[in-house]
Formats: sequence, C-alpha cells, structure tokens
Amino acid sequence: MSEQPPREDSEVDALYRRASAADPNRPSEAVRRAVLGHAAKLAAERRSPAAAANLDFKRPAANEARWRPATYGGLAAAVLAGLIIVPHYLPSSSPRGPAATTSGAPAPGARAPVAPTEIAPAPTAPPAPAAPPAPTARQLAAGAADAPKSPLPERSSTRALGEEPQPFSGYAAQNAAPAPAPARGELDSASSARLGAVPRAQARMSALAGRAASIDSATALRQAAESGDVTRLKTLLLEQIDVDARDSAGRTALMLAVLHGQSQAVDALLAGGADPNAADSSGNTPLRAATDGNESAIIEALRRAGAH
Amino acid sequence: MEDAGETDEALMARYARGEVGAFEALYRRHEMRTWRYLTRNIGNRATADELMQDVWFAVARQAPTYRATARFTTWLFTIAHNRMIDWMRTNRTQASLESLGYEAGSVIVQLTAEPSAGPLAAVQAEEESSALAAALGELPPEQREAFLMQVEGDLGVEEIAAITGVSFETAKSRLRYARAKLKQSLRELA
Repeated sequence: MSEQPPREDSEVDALYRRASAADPNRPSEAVRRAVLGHAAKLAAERRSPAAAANLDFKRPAANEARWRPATYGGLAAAVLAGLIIVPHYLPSSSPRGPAATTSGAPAPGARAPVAPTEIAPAPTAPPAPAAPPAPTARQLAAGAADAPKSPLPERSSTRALGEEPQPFSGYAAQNAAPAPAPARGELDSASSARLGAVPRAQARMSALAGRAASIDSATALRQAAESGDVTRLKTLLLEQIDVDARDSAGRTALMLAVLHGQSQAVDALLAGGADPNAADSSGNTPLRAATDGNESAIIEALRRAGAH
Repeated sequence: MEDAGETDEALMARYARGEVGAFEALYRRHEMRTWRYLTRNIGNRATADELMQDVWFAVARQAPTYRATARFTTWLFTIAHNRMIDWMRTNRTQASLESLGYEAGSVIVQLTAEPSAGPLAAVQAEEESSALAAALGELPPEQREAFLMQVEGDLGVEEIAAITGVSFETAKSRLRYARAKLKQSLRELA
C-alpha cells in the first residue's frame, strides 16, 4: 500500500495552483480583523499573571480584573481583623486610647473604662466626637460607686493582667476632654459592643475563607478534569462545589476535560451533573470542542447527556 | 515578528505563550489556503467568511492545548472540515458533503485572472481559471473536498482519510477520480 498521495497528475495540480495564484478574491477584511483581534485578546489574557491565578468567576466581563476582588477582599479582611483584634493587646495607656490622651492629661486610672461614645461603631473607626457628653447624675452616682479603688493618675506603659484594651476611635479623640467614669451599665454595653464586633469579624473572615476554599476546590476540579484524574475528580464532586465553575476563559471542568480528550473525566463530570452545553466565553461548546478534536467517545457521551 | 523558516508548530507554541505576532505569522501563512478550501467547498462566500472566522477563532482558543503530535495543517484542516460539517448540520442539510450544492459560477469559483499581469496573460489566466472553476464545480463534493485538502492543505492520503472518516483506499480513490475528472473536464472545456 502506498503511503504517498497519488499525485501522478501534476498538470492538474499545476493548473490549479496557477489559477489560485491569479485569483484576486480574498477573505473579507472584517474577518481578518476579527480573527487577529480575537487572537490578540487571548494572547493578552495568557500573558497576564491573572490568567495563571485561574480564579473562578461566572461573569466573563469580570475576567480581566478578577484578581481585584480577591486582593482587595484579603486586604480588607486583614485590616478588619487588625482593627478588631489588635486593640485588645495594646496597653491601655497607648496614645491611641482616647480617654488617656487629653491634652496630655492623665487618665483617671489604668483601668479607666471607656465611655460608650468612644467605642468605635464600625471597623473603619470614624472620628470620635470632640468632647464626650457630660455625665448624667445617674452616671456620676454609679461612677462614684464603681470607680477604681486606687485611681492611678499615671499612664502605665504596660497593660495589667485582665485589663481591658482600649479600642481605637480615631486620632481626633486624642484631643477630647477626659471621660468621666462611666457607670457599670455603660461598661457592660461597651464591652458587649466590643465583644460583639469580634464574632462579626470572625463571621466575615469565615465567609471569605469559605469563598477562597470554594475557589480552590473549583480550580482543583478543573485541574483534575484536565489531567484525567478521575479518582480526584470523584472525590471533589462529593463536595458541595459548583461543578460548572469557570476559569478565566469561561471554561468549565467539562470543557477542559473535552479539550484534553479525557473521556473518563467527561463521563464522571456528566454523571456529577455538569452542564453539557456550558459554552466558554468565546461561545465554544463542549460538543464543538469534541468535534474539533475528533473525540468520538466524548461526542457520544455529550450527545447522550443532551449536548447540542 | 520574523517567522521565516519557523515551523507552524513552533509558531503555535509561541502563540500559546502569548506572542500574538506568532499567530499573525501563522495566519498570514495559511489564510488563503484555508479560505480557498472553504469557499471552493461551500460555494458561498459569505458562509465561507463566517466559517473562516470560526476556524481561526478555534485555532486561537485551542492553542494552549495544541500538541504537535500531528502537523499543524492537519489539525487546521480537521477543524475546517468539522466546521463545514457543523454548518451543514445547523443548516439542516445532510451530514454528507454529497448534499452540498456547488454554486458553479458563484463568486468563489470564479478564479479570475490577475488584471495586472498584462492583457494576454490576463486573458489566458482568466480562461484557465474559469475552466478550472467549472471543472471543480462538476466534481462530487467528497472528491472535491479530498482534492482541495490535498492541494491547499498539502495533506497526505492517510491524513485526508482520518479527517474525513473514510478508509485509506477510499480517500486515495477519491483523489484519483477527482484528478481524472478535472483533467477530462479541462480537456473538454479547452
């Protein structure tokens, strides 16, 4: 059997080539522009470090800047944690302690409680009022009863054991008038406010961590699909993750499995509920990709799953 | 970006790394042969343009997963062939190329002569082009496609057989019949 094409009739081929060379018809310029533009866009995506991050977002429009939510979210979480947690470890006489920094006047005591108005209501620590409200008669009475037995006029540089940290309420508070000794009830509400902020921060951090874990799982799913690691794939599918999560090019795990000819991975993903018609951001469907790759087994599996 | 002497596969590898110049070189190199393959098979220039865009979009998209286990042209013409079949299915035509009506005399089969080649040469080239276009139009679609794959894609029989899903012998037979008929048609037209 000859492996070479039958080209005995070079006369026909030569005529064809001559005629083709003389053919002035060309593809439309619009096609050329579209193709080269598309190629340039994809090349730019591949060059960008964000493409390597392979983060997962459903919105194709967000792909180019998909690193921003993750980066800024992480920074925001870190700042939030710092604002909430760090003050607990600061000495009470810290210059940031609003009650302790009144025109150089000493605080009433090392354990001087914080007036409610000095509690930062939000993580972003808005400026404290210029002066605290005048104490009411009840506050004065309660303050007298609950005042520290040995008020220390000096500012301690170290925080005593069990001492409550002073939350940061803004530098404006440094010029505020000295706070009167609040009543016990006010102490409790201040503590509650402070203590309540911690679970909220923890919940937010937990949510951020959950989101990061979800992104990691989605990435791992796509990697397993791409490499045909069916065991890993099935393990990941047992988790409550989005099987149709997409990469920067809008490709699902199923699409990547198709592009890499991983028929077993395709079967596993389809069994795991993957959308057989999930197109990537260029509109390419798994079936089309399989057809391009002449992957007959995958084509069959996709069609059985309802791909069109 | 200089591409002289660089293989298609090397250009693809460079493009996969994000060098758009490599893709442009690749496109310049294969633009006309892809387009002629499509237009002379489909018989409709607008559709051929549409498919041309689809084919090269696919090339750009799939560059990162392209592995040089086969020649680039084989891969390229596989995509082009599949796009053509897809288009026929979408347009409710039969999957076989036999259903493809070839619009003899349409824009894409008018292999007109280059007007700048001089009056006599232009006339001669025009005659040859028209004769070949008419002869191509008379070929059965599957023979025409096999012939076009070979002359435009420079593909071997084995590659044509694999792409079109037929046996080696069938592909070889199609090529032989295609050339024989073209030769006969050209003689008659002459």
